[in-house]
Amino acid sequence: MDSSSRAATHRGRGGITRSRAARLEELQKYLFILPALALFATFVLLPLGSALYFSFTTWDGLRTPEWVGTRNYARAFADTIHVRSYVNVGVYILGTLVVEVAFGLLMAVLLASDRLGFAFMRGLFFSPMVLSMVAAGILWKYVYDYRTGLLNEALRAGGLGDFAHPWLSDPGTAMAGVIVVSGWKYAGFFMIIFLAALRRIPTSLYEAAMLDGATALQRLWHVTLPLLRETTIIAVLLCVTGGFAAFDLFFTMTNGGPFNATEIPTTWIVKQAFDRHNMGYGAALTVIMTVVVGVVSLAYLLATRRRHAVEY
Amino acid sequence: MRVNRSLHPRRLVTVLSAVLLAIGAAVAQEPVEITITHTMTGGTHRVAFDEIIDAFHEEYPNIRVRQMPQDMEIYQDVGLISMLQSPNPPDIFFQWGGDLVRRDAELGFAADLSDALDEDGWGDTFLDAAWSESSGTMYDGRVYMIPYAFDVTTVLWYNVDMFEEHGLEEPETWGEFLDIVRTLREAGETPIILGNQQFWPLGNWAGHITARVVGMDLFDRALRLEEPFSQPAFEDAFERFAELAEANAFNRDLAGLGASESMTAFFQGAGAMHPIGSWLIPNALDTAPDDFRYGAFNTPEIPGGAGDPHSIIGLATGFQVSAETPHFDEAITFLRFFTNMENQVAWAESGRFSPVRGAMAAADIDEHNQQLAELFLDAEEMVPPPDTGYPVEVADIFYQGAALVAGGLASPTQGLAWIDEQLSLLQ
Amino acid sequence: MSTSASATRARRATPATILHYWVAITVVAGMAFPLVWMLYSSLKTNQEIALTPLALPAAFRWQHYVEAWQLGNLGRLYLNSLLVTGVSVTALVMIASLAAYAFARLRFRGRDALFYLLLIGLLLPAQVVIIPLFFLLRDMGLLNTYWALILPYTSWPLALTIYLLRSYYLTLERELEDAARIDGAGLFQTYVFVMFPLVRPALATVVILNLVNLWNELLFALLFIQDEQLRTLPAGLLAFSGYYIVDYRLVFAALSITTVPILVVYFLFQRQVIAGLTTGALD
Repeated sequence: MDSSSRAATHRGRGGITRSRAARLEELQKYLFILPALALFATFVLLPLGSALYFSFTTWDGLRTPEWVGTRNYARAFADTIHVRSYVNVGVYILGTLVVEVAFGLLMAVLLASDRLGFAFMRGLFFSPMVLSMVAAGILWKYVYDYRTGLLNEALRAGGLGDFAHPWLSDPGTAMAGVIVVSGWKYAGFFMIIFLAALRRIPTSLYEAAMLDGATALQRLWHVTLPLLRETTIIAVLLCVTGGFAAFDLFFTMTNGGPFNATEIPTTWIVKQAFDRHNMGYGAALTVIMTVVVGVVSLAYLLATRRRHAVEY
Repeated sequence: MRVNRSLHPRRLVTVLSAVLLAIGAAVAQEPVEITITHTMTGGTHRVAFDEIIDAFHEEYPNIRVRQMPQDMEIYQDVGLISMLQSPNPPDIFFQWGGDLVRRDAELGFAADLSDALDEDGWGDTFLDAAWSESSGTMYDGRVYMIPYAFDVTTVLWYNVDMFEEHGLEEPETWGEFLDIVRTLREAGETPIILGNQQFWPLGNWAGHITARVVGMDLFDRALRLEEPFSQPAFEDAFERFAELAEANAFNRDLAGLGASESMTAFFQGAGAMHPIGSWLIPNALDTAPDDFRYGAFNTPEIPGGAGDPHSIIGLATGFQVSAETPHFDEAITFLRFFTNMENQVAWAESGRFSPVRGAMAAADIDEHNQQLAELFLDAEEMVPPPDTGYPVEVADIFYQGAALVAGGLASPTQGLAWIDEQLSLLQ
Repeated sequence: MSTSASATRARRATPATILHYWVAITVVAGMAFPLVWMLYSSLKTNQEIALTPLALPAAFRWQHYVEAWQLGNLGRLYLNSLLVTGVSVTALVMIASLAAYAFARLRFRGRDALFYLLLIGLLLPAQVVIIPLFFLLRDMGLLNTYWALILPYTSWPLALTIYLLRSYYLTLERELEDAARIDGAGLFQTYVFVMFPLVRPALATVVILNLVNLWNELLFALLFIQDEQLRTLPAGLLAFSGYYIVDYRLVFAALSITTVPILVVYFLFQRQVIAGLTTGALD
């Protein structure tokens, strides 16, 4: 019996008053969740449902939607740019696993020191996290600029002028350019997560390892990394699900270009819906994305559940 | 007043409305305000427009004009459409003549302006071209847009100093043009600088070249999806882009550079030629270095082309009045004021091609505008830019196919096949 | 950091320590440099930026800040962002806490089913409803009003916020609550006077998390608000950088104006901000 119903039993001792009070209180409980559910139903569930409906129509957002069955879905699978957008986001996610998660882990190990200045460096390293993707994207566009960008100018100053490159204008390098900015923005986040995990590792384990004569590298390999395994699983899954939701950085820096080299599902959806006014087709693409993200997220939830079972 | 625009508490059952209500109540009532949304975010024409509005306020103290300028890309994508569908649509809004004016008329966003134009012969103060079929101001025989400028959307602007330095002259034919490109490239210059991140800058020019080669008729049918693009006439047209790619005509960051960035780079001497529209003139007055000398020539004659060899690509742009405005009369009052001779002379002098009869002649206009006016008179055909004359997604696909070829990433045949493949998804 | 391997070593400037410092400083300084570059570039002329992008400014031209502030209407953008984020986060946290308490502590029919329904929101990125949401707001007549942002901003983070707060409520002791109930306090009284004050530490965390996320939100802000008088900072900054894309000094000044205060606040409340932003990923 939970506290509230127990309290109700304690309080009511006389027949009618008790049951009416209890019923009233039963209703009151729903008032606690009513505002949340009303908002959630209106601005999350209702649009999700309508997206499903619109995905079976052709609609320009102005006239009346026209039912076309599964035509939009057939189109989605025939749309080479759409298919490519999933390949691109896959590449992006793989890249961010390196520059966000792996680099974040490396930095956690590197900056996990209480020597003077390290706390400040950690703070500095985390700081891009509080900035908007828009600010980061705009700033880095100037870093990458072919003529006056920081990067090319630094290369020229270092005598490597031949390597100066139109980074975001070349289909071969644009995605890498975006991935680097993503790493710049988020590596600090993963560093903190790994740092917290490092701090949870009992000192005694290191002491035991040292007594056994293990070198620093051996301690890292045999003690630290195995104990970070669970945290790494979480980090990887956060990075993957976050990758699918990416939009701001791509929109600000390349908007899918050049030649769809950085086209990801979200940019392609927004283009279809709001540049080309294909609301029905855009809705079908969102439904596909919902399914893909749902599957990936379920994997995430299952993995986290397993993690709780292996507590150390 | 602007805080009030954000208030629709009657539709909301939430305590939060109290917060905004308090702000709304604090704002006092003002004289009739008309809102006008457009894409003039800078340049001398904006300065002229601001001055015209100031003068209007002086003459009509009971009407206030509030401008809501927007970035052109946003305006084109969701900006305008969502404003038109909001409960308080702007009273006057900027539009590109053609497909969009027809849409706004058909869907009831735009008010029919024919009667207002008939009054006191207001309509007769405009050039005849303003009310022609190709101007894109009409729908079903009625006028839905007051044009405020004719825009040529692509001519080849060139850096006069660079041309003189390399002993070059304005080309007459495509062959001469390619020679210029090669000469410049050999001399270590960037022959053509353009920012094609959004595809329309090169796409407009590609549309013009294509219409010249295949003829208006076939051009029009293909963009209406009545003909495939994969056919010899279009291959011939796209071969021109391949020639440009082969001659290494463009800047290296063509595909990722923004349109306005490339214009500034052109002003700074980063390239010899810049294919863009007439709006370069007000921007040059505003941002080019004082000693920057530039000229313009039309896309050179392409031998064997089926279209008018002197055609221009362009359209009329102007203002529409919201069909739902409660201030229709005030809006018309403003538009009449804006298009009166005195203001149109100022408008022309700010660098725009005024559609009002005699304004260009009376104005002390920029030599470059004069040059464009001549191109305009010289042309028999005005090619509509694909993105304003036709559905925008068809134009987008055509633009990207052309960009693939001009960027050296696809052969003409491949580029055209790509276009057909993408278009096949639309049906 | 007594647990870390390096910390157990003596604090002498051994070659290893120097190397450690050298590597750490190099990497962190490299990461921070774009921001430093942004700051000093904002004081240079366009000519200087175009010709010598790396060089320090010849003179400190603070007037660029005044110009960017006025041209970009940045004060207005700040106000809009403060209003929209402030109202959204306040409402969000109030509503979420109420629901989280019910899901954690009250027993009622359908509780678990409703909670799982809510968890859908935990899985989905907001992009997947962008199209219908746009038309829903249009039909409600809310496009181009603050409500177009406040309502979705209050609704979308609900799932995560409720989820986090519920976990916290579950950790609280039951004694106080039971005592209040025995003393005859109603459900709401118990919640307001007993439970809500107890959840404050967790509230701080979710407030920070949502504050940062909503302050920086772009997609809704871009699509639902076109009136530049009502825009929030990210959308306004994007538009500004579009207008003045080649007026480098102004863009750098505007970037500095919009990022430096945030960074200052961050460094002042570093511990709380980091805790807030990593909550959920760390339990």
